[in-house]
Amino acid sequence: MERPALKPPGAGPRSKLREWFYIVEPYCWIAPACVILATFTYVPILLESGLSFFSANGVNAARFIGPANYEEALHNPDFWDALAHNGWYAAVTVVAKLALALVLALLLNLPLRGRAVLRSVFFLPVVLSFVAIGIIWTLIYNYDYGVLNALLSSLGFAFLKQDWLGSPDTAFGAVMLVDVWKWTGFHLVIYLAGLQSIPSELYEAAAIDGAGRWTRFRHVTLPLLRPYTAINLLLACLGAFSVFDLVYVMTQGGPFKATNVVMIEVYLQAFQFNRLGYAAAMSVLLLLLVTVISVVVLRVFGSQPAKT
Amino acid sequence: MAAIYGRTSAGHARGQGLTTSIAYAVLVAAAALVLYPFIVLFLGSLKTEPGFIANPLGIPAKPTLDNYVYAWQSAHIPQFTVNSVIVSVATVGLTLALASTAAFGLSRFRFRGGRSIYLAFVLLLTIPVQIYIIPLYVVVVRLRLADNFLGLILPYTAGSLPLAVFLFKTAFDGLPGELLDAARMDGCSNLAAYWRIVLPLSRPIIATVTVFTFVQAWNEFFLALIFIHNPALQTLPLGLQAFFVNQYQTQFPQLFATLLMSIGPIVVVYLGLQRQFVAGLTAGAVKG
Repeated sequence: MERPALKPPGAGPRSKLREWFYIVEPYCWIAPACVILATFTYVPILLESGLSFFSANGVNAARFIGPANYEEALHNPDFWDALAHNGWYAAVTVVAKLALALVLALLLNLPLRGRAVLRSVFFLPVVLSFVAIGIIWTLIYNYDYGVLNALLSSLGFAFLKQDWLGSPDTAFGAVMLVDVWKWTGFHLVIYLAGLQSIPSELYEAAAIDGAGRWTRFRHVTLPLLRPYTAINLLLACLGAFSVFDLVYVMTQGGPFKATNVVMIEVYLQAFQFNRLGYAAAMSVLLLLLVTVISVVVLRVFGSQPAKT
Repeated sequence: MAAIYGRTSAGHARGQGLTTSIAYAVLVAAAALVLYPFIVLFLGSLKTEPGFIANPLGIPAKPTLDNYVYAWQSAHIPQFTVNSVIVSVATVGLTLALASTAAFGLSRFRFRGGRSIYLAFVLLLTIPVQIYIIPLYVVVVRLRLADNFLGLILPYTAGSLPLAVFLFKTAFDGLPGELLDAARMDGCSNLAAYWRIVLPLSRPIIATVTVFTFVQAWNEFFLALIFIHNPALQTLPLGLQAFFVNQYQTQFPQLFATLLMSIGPIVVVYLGLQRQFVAGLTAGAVKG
């Protein structure tokens, strides 16, 4: 942005005032947004790092206890289990979403009739809340009246009937499936934008060089989609490590902690057991992890694609 | 890929037909998987309770609208919807006002700290609000904003600002500088330039910011869960969740109708403005 404001023309008697206004004006423009941003993001983030070193329940005065909260978290199997759940959640949903999104985007990029309608259908779950979607799928998974078991029965697979959310074996997978169902359309649209940014001359040139379909995909499409893969990966990972709404609505972390993720653990500790300091320490650890993941994803995938 | 097919032989043309058929089959199957839950929900919402238990999947034998009457009267869906409209519209208005003025300041002037302040906005793009919800709760309580719409509106606005400021600033930076210089020659103040020149030229970005801010505020659950305890102030996701938890297991048709009524407004708006929704909700990813 090389557009410095011109000095006010003329140096009349009011020039002192104008000079002053000239210096102050930019800050007037940005101040309201900065105040709101600082109050509701930076102040809480700073408070959180402080809070994590205190024993605080929100009622009595907080007591400084040094790094004890961090020690507790790092020695607590519940925290590690929750973190591992987030890791699995990320691994499974990210791979599933991106693979499905890429395949569907490649197909939607073909000159088909009705692609706009199909795209709108795939995008529909993206605009709905995790609460509404979580409830819908909880009803679908219901053992007695759920559509899934009814479908299995009517198709002759009654032996596959499950208490999908009530059994520790299936609950986590059932929740992850809903996440994939909701977000695939979002990643699809981003991949579609990437595909449409690839100049068709590249494919023509590759075809003239005798490259087959797979070779063209491998050496033209994939490398040029790399920035789009980076952003898809980043957003999907961030979602997986901060997931709360869906798990809270569908299983509340159960059964038997089978779906307990870090944010559920944080919520329980902070707002059910009033252990604000301990919950803050877990949040800080999660924040560090999310930051590391963001940096790694952007470093590894964010670099410019090799020219093919 | 269309261009490739343009120069292919007859053999390839047959292959193309096959490709198209397979593509359609896969896409339609996937679309059916997305739509099927809504279809079941709709059909179920027209059934009576015994009718649903006897026939959970099929067409209702005697369609009834009783469940919608119930959703309207007993599930308080209209009340939740009004609350969500108030919170979302206020969040959008505040975000547009704050982000566009801040972006104008950051784009128009060079001043001490400008770069760092912009960085402070952009840095938050990858930090989910969940992570600092505990101290945010402390702040909101201290400001006496718990159980108050402002307790949602202000944090939602803060959450939308990073992306909104980024998009506005990118757009403003792209405006031709001569335009504003000419305006100044004509004695136009910065405020007038912002209002009469910059904003009217930024309609696409205004639409984008409106869409993602609105959808985020409309669907937000975690903050509302913690900050709002008065049932009269519950937003749609919160009210829906509370209602769902208090239901008996077998009242599925009522739940279906309640769910459909609660997602109805956003689905209708989405269907009317698909292009803007898709562009608005993916703008951060595509332009970032």
